[in-house]
Amino acid sequence: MEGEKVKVFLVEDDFSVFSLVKEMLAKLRGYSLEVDGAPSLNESIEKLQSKKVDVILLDLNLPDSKGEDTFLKLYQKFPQLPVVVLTGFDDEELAVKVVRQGAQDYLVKSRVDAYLMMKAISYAIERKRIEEALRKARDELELRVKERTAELVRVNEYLKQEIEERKRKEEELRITYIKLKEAQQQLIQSAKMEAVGVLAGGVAHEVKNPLAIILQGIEYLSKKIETDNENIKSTLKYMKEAVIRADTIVKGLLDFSRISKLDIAKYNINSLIENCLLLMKHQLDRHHIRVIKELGEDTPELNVDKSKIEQVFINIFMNAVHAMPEGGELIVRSYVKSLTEDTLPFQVEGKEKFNLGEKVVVVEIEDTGSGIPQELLDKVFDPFFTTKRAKGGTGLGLSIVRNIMEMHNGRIDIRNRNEGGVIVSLLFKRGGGQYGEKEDTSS
Amino acid sequence: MEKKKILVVDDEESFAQMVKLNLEETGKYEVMVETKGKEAILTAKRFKPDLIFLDIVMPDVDGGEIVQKMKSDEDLKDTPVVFLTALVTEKEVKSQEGVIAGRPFLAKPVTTQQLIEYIEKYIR
Repeated sequence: MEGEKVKVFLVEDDFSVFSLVKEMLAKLRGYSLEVDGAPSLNESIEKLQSKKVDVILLDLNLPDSKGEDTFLKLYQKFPQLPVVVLTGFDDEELAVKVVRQGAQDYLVKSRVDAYLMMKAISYAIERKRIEEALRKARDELELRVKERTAELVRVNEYLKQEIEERKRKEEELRITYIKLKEAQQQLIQSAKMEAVGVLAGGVAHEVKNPLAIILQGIEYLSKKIETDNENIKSTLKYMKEAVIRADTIVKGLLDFSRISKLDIAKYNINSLIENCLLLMKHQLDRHHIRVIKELGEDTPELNVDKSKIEQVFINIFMNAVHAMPEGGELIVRSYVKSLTEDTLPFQVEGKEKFNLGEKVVVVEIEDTGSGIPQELLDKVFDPFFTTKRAKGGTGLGLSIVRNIMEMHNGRIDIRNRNEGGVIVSLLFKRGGGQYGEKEDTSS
Repeated sequence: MEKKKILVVDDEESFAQMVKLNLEETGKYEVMVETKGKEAILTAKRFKPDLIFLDIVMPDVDGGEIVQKMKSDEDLKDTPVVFLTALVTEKEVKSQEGVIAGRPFLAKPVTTQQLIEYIEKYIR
């Protein structure tokens, strides 16, 4: 500070104090000081607005402002200027308070000498300068932090988008994968069907002849062996039953291979359902199965092969009965719905396509049985797959059902219900099966 | 009462023999077995059956062809024929429609009871 002119501004209404301070400062050697001032707060503020000063000496008790307020008002206007408070002997407490609020220092008027005052002034200026420098550094830092934060936010946003994009791509990939998998399943299924179809005709002929011989042989022996021996009788009976069972399987195979044409006519699907429920009545009653019908009144007539579709319903109803040996509920529902993105079924090659928004007839058949173990669900449509082999199941029922549905350009789907049991969904195109009709006219 | 004469034409000899045994067991029928399709006409002319059970798929000649030949044979044109076949699909039977011309058929395996029913039904 030496060599430089220090501009001091003195706010003091007591002229004697004003003069005293001025005099005191003038006496200091080695310092070049310029002292100005004003006797009231308002005047000071006015002057300071156009005047550049280095430090303010402030008396808190002025005609237009008293105590703490005096400092605060001034500080609010000129926060960058260092202020040293001049206070009376009995007012030190107030002075300390003001220092806490931002004043640089305080001097007790009656105890001050020039040296002390100068020291206070130069420290005040110096402290303020450091404070300012700190403030500036802090502001700069803050700005840089802000900038850096903004950049991070931007990068973060970008990463988020990137992640979203990847998730979307992943989802697309997943859907494509599922579709591919379905297509593959479909191909495998058709290949199996074809193989079975080819096999069936040949096997039937080759198996039926020996079966015919065995049956004739059993009948002959039954007549020739006149005996009361129960073992012989039951042996012959079991043999005959076995032949009939084998024949049933072969017939199933032939059924399976020969489903190639439909006898199409217009039917209301609800009346077909009612027919089948009537046919099943005895079975359902015997197993204490309650039937709940929710048949839509607005279902249109469909082009279907009556006996084939009845075969479908009977097969599914029988499965439900087998799944509920201790009784339960059979829920049969029919309704019309429009296909949405989510419900659009997988397209089967060579069959009429399902389109978005297309109205289809849905039949849902639910049971409250034990359901199908998840790992077996994929196999239920496989020819020869059965869990009822011991009870004479051939494993052809659902394969045939699926074939019939596909010939009608329809679909079948089997899922487990969350609450237990199975739900079978049948989807019919309103046009129904045309395939067989076409084949008929061409042959 | 005179026994009715039945001719069984089938290349599966054991099947034909079993049918013979079972039908003759009733005491009402006299059965002859012919396992060679080509010999069927000749055997029939000699045996003069009241009814013929005829296999369709045989290695040397088709059952349908035999029926066709019988139609133009004075001795056999009125002899009733029942096809016995392991081919039971509607499609396969229909495809032979022109040849078997409404002749009845039984699917193998067949019970003696069914054979007797058909004999009694078709012998005039």
